[in-house]
Amino acid sequence: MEPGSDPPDAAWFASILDAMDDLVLVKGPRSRLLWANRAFRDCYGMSNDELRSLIDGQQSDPDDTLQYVRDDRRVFVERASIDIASEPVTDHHGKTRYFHTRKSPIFDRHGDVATVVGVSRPLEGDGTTERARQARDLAHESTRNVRALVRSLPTPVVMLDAAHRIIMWNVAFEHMIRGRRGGDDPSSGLLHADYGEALGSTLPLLEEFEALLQGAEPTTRLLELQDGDDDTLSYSVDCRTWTDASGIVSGTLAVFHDITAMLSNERQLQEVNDELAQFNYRVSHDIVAPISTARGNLALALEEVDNDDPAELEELLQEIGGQLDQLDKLVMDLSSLARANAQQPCREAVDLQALVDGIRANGRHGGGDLLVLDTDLAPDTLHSDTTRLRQVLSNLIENAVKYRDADERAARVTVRSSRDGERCTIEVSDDGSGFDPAFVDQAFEMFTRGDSASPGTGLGLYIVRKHVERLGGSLSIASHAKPTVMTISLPHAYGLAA
Amino acid sequence: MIVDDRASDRVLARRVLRKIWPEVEISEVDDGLDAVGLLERDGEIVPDVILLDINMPRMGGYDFLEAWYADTGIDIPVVFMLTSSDLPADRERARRYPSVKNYIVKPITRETARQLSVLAS
Repeated sequence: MEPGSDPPDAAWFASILDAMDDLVLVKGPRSRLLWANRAFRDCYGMSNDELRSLIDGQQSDPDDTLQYVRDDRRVFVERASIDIASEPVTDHHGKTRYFHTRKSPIFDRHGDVATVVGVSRPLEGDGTTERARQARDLAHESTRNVRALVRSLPTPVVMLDAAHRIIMWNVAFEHMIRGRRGGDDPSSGLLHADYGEALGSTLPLLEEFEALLQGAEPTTRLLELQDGDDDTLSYSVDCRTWTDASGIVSGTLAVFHDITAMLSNERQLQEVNDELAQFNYRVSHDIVAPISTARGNLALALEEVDNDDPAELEELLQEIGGQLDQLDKLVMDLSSLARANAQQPCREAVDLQALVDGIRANGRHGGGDLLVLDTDLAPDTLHSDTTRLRQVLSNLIENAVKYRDADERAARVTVRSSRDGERCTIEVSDDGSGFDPAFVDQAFEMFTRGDSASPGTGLGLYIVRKHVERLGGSLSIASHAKPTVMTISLPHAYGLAA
Repeated sequence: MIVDDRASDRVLARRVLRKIWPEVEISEVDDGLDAVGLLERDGEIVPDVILLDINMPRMGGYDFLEAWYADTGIDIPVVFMLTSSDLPADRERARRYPSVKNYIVKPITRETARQLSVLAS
């Protein structure tokens, strides 16, 4: 530039860089090429327009590219120049040469690293070149070993380079993402794809990967994923970095552990624990309550013996008898519940008609004149557990009698059955007072009673539900009143796959 | 007033109270919600004593006390918790309410009735 001429412009600076034999290139975040001088363009056989936004040329060995992005990342994280003793560069003719490279940060006006400039000068001398070749071979072998390890792991793994490009995954990972990426081959297009674009929405781990490259500790997070059948699977994901042979962090990887079954077991255990706690509390309450009332009445009765008031005494003794009846019923129900939970159901031919006739005859519901019982049963023979079904129907029929319409002397109950393929439906309907609609959702819960004045222990429908569930069936209230209809759906043959 | 969901316990409480305190007027409800309803209906009349069960459907004893104070701010002079629960947590909670003068584990006895009649007079 001559004295008095115009201030230098970009072309002037570019002409200087183009005049150099060293390779000079500028890269943005995640190793995207922004600009290169003539020496670099000649080496790659590309113009600046063709280079822009690439991570590397197609002629490069992908494992060499791993090294470039690793070193670019180091400059961004360390915010200082780094010295790379040897770096392989393959030109557009396929010839690989070795360079000594320095990469330096270029800061923006906020003091953040905006870009990286790299200057590479060819290594000279046979010994130096040979050592560089050996270093390259070692690095490649190390990367191959990590890849092989990833490939062989039985749990899903995905491995990224320092620019968040996917460089390896295993069969278990392909299986895990099947159905999320469509097509038969879920891995198609994954190699060297940007993780955020390819999988970021399915497996949102980019923030974790970025934090790891910034020096954060390995992390574990929970992810949920739909499988091909739209079932939700839960994964505990270990995110960590991996290093190359020189010990420099070269990328990240995520190992996925399917914990769906474990979480489900935990939930079930929690439910059982909650139920047990509720059960303990209520049982102790419901056992203690009638005993304490009986004790109170007994104390009064003993006073009445001295007072010589036989009428009052009789009333008190009847109260005590009532409390004992209540305890007796509770103990019977608890015993039924224990059997419902503990024993394995058996499969046998069930004669529903005989079963209903037996319930009608045994009179536990409170006497024959309180019940008008009809049946409308399918001719098919149900294969299930007679003892359990007897208790189910017996409890439902007893309930119908207990909650019969106040204006009616007897409860009218109809038991119907029908078969639909592999399922059998049994309906018990009655014309009684039915359920309060607000109470329907809790009707099959433990210790639930329609109201505090209801007779019974609050276990009857819960026992019904337990039996039906143990038989592989379900129970619902098809109609809450007038008629009240309870529907039981059972496998037509318990224990046989449908 | 006796607030208890077990009819047989209400009958027993009434019997014992009558023996010790023959002139007492007793109203009965079977849960906290009905107790609130009865007290609101009677307006200014607040019972001298309440025998209050803890575990009741719809509204338990402690929820009744919360609802009563939140709605009216009026102190009920004497509340006896009368419950089959001997849990420390239930006993501890009773201490938070100034109105609760005693915590009785069922059954009600003549001694409980005597204490009530003394405190109310």
